[in-house]
Amino acid sequence: MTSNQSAGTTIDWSEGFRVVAGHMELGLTEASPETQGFWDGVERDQLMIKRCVRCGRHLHPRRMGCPDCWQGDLRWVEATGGGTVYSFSTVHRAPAAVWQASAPYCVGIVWLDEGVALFTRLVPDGGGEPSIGDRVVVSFRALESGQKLPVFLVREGRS
Amino acid sequence: MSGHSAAHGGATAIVGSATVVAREGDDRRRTALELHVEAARRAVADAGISRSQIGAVLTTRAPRSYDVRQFNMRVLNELKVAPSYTSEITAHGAGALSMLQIASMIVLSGTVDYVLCTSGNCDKLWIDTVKTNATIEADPQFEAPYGPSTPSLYAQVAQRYMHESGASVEQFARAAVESRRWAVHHPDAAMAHKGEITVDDVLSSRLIASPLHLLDCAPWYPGGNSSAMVVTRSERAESHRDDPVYLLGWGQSNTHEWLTDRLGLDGIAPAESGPNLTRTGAIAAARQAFAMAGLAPGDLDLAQTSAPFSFLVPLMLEQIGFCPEGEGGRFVGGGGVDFDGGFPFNTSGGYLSYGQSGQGLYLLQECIDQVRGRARGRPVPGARRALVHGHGGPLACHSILIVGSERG
Repeated sequence: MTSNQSAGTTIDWSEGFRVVAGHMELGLTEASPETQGFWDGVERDQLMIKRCVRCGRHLHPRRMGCPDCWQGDLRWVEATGGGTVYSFSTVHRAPAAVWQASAPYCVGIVWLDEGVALFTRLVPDGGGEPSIGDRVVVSFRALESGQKLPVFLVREGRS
Repeated sequence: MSGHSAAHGGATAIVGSATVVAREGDDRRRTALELHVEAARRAVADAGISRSQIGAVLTTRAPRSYDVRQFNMRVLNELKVAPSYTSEITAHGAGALSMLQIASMIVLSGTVDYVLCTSGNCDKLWIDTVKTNATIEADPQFEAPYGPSTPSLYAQVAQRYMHESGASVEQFARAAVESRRWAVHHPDAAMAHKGEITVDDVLSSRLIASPLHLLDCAPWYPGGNSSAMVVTRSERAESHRDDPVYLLGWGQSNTHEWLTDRLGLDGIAPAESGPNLTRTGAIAAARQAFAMAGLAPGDLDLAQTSAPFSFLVPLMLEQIGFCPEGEGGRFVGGGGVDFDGGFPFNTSGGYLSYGQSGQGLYLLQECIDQVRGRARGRPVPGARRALVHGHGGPLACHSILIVGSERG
């Protein structure tokens, strides 16, 4: 369960791409029409985000249109992969056994240098907890569910 | 506030109410539908109206443990009523209080005279709430695969709150301690039997998701509850009972879906000054409610807020207006909501010690009972006006009601 459907194939919504963790099914997490480019990028170790062709604002990969311009003409661009820690929490009690085996682990929100926030797994340099403002850089790893995901390595020291 | 008229404050009232509680270990395991229907029957009886007078039936969204489409139709079918209007009202955990506001708008239209509202859940009786909750609180594609628990999603807000305001885990713990002291006096509170706790107890309980300890987190209600209310225009309410509870003011703010989406919000309230996690829609909802009521926070005798984690007590206190913004931690730490001598806050124990059962009106029921002088737990002597806040999302939808035993 590491691959999303490749670009150009027809997405089969009846089967979907499911992440099952222990007894828990997370629901449909397959690439959807508007996110296919993001998951294709993950396969290539590239972090893809969206950009409004009108105002130039960078947007979350799930956006279907520019929320400011109210138009749907967006294009995929590769992010630099750098950013800062906006917030974080170390999970000690995981929601299911598949994650509990990795606990404690840190989930957080990074601000990409392009001005887009992403929820992610934070991997502190040398363990411990990150600090708000720490620099991060993207990496790609298969996490507990088996799905390959962008994670962020924390470099200590504020930006 | 655009779109709001002060003329509506006090124009509608709750003329009947009832809350039904189910507990783990009851002789028979009851469904959420059954609880809604029983609460509805009792609320209508409390209102003293006949079923043919019910012009509209509103319900909260289908409970997770009774996940059917058009739950509202199941309720009215069981009641054998045929209202002109019906719908589910959904705005995450704020939907229940939103329902009362929309009920008011319906009766103020003059189209119908009485709206029956039902709410409630008994998830803990039927499903594994810990395992499943993060799946509905997190974006399934961009958040859930990283393994967040619900506490770890809210903890993102807590970390920012500490970073931005200097609030401390000791102050958060104080909120949990004072909530427990109220709960000890309430017969339905989940944690009443556990007795009082100290700040050290909270801080030495195990970490769930930093900075939140076990005792910083609300327990799921060990069972469930359902509340039903009948709303009508105030003059009609006064014609057949002498103690209606008036809806003096209300407000709402609904801003986003998943937590990360919140950081795509800027330029509009409550993120006028840029994206953030900490300035929530409670600010906008409270402003609307106080403006409609013509009241200020100092005019209230008590308040309830949906705070599933301790840090939300100081955050909501400051955002509703009980202390200046950024001062919530110091307000709580300085005894601002102490059981003895503080502002009466979360007087049934709050989510933290009464227990959380989402999409409910049990916090509103506590306000009603207090202003009618019929508190089931510790009474607030002479209470006439109360505020109740509900939220869900996480922190995406906020709804506030100010109720009182007097119309003005």
